[in-house]
Amino acid sequence: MIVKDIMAPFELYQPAQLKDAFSLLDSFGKDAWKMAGGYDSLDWFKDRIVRPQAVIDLTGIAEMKGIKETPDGVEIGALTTLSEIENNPIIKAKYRLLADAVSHVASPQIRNHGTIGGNASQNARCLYFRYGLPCYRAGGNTCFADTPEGINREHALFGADRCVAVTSSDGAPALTALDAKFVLQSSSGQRVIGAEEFFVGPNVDILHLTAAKPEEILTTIRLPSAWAGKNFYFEKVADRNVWDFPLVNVAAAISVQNGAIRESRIVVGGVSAVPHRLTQVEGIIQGKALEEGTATLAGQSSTRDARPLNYNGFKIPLMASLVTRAVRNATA
Amino acid sequence: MSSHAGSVQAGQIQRHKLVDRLYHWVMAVCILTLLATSLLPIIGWKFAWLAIHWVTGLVLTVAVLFHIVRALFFQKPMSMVVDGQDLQNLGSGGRPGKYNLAQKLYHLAIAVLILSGIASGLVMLRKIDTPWWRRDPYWFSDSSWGVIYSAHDFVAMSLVTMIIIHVYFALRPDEWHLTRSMFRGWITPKEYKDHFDPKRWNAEEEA
Amino acid sequence: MELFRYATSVYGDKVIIGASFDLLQWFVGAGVAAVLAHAIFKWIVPSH
Repeated sequence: MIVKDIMAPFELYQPAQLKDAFSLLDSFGKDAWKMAGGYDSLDWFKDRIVRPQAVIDLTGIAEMKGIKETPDGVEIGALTTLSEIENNPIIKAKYRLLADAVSHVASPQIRNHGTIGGNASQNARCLYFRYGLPCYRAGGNTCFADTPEGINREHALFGADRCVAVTSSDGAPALTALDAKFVLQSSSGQRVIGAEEFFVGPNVDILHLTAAKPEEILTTIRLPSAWAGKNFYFEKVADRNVWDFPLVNVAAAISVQNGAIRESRIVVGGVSAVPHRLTQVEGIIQGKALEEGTATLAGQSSTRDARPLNYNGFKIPLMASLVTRAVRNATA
Repeated sequence: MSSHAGSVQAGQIQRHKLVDRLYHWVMAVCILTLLATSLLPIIGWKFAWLAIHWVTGLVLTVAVLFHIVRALFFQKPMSMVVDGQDLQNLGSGGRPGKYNLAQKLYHLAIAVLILSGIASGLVMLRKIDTPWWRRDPYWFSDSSWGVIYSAHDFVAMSLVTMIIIHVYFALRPDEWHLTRSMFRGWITPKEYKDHFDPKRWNAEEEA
Repeated sequence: MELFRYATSVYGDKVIIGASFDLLQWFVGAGVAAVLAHAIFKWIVPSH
């Protein structure tokens, strides 16, 4: 029986420095839970599906907050709120794609407290997984969504490997399109990995959506200058216009030279466990004139290899349409 | 007599034919691949393991079927069965036939483990998508699947123990003639005389 | 340390979902122990 809305007791730690957070992670090991804005964490706690011994609230760590320009681009602290990113003049001027994407997250109240690190790292929203059933993602032996009776209209078109859950982040596709780098730190050092390594599918790790290890903290997200000020487009389709996760979203960054597409990064969310980068489409449209025919071609070719489940076939034309619009309407 | 590498020449006694050595090494590669693809992700080395795992499992299945047919119908299966003489030799220190008691018991254990692993693995294939079918998780109840997964898991972990022991014996200097014979196929007449009972293993007749 | 991994089924029952992989270290240990035991035995009784 699943008890709702009553959290099991835990010890709350609120470190003010990263090194204190690392020592807490090292001492509690797998009994620790890292929490940023808390919008993902509190669901797990209230449903009593996750019962950590120690919750490490990271929001007091000042060095993980803020946006600053660097010679190579911009560094965003993982604890920077989505509202700060949405309204930051540097982001708005150079990386409008990210500002657009985070402005579509949930509601203003949630964006005021939710963080970019938490948004990118949030766990899958599959209703079976969230209900606490012993599915693959929860360490079990089955997928309840990919069955003849399974409710799977929100699930994957691509990359399903036993688990068919998708990423529900609006920020993740934009970060992937901007070729963001993720800084993961632990007591033993730091590593910097690209978005396509940071987000992991069920074929690699069926229990997690990111490559962050339990002892690591995502401290910073770096946006390279290579994509600053390019043509951008973000669009999200959900059942409700606010406070909802995407059915499908698209983030596109397109570099245009003399009216032709020089280079592009087009990423679709809500169709795979990871932000689904359309590298084949990018290759097809490279060098072509930025015109309606190219946009249509991009949309038509974007859904090749899609494997719909029983109830999510509608995502195929939706995705094709969003990709077409992204290529057609991307502006500087 | 031909003299290419691996063939038996004058003054050598054949212990394992090329086909049997090939089977052994195919099986070894399969088992190591299966263990690496199943256990490395569990201990933290994450990679896309599943497709490699089940394809290797099918290769192992075919190899084991080949071995069973060959051993039962084209070789002497009783040479691998524990008999009274093996037990008598425990006390007297007498020489064994082609395989000693430890090898027979090891073979029995590894056969049980691998056949259990293959049986449970083939059933588990029903739960994943392959080029030939879509998965069906409703073949068995949750608890039955749990038993099948547990069997598969215990086989995997037991094989780790068995491989450690096997590699140790393969590397022991006093067993080197056996290890060499699994690479080259032969032992020397002196090794044959020193380690084996010609009445129980007639190498000349078998060759 | 447990022998099995358990989960709560759709019907609320506690069901086995597999062996506990915490046991892996014990299986490795058993192999190493067997090797050491044999090596020590052969070292003490070389002619056996």
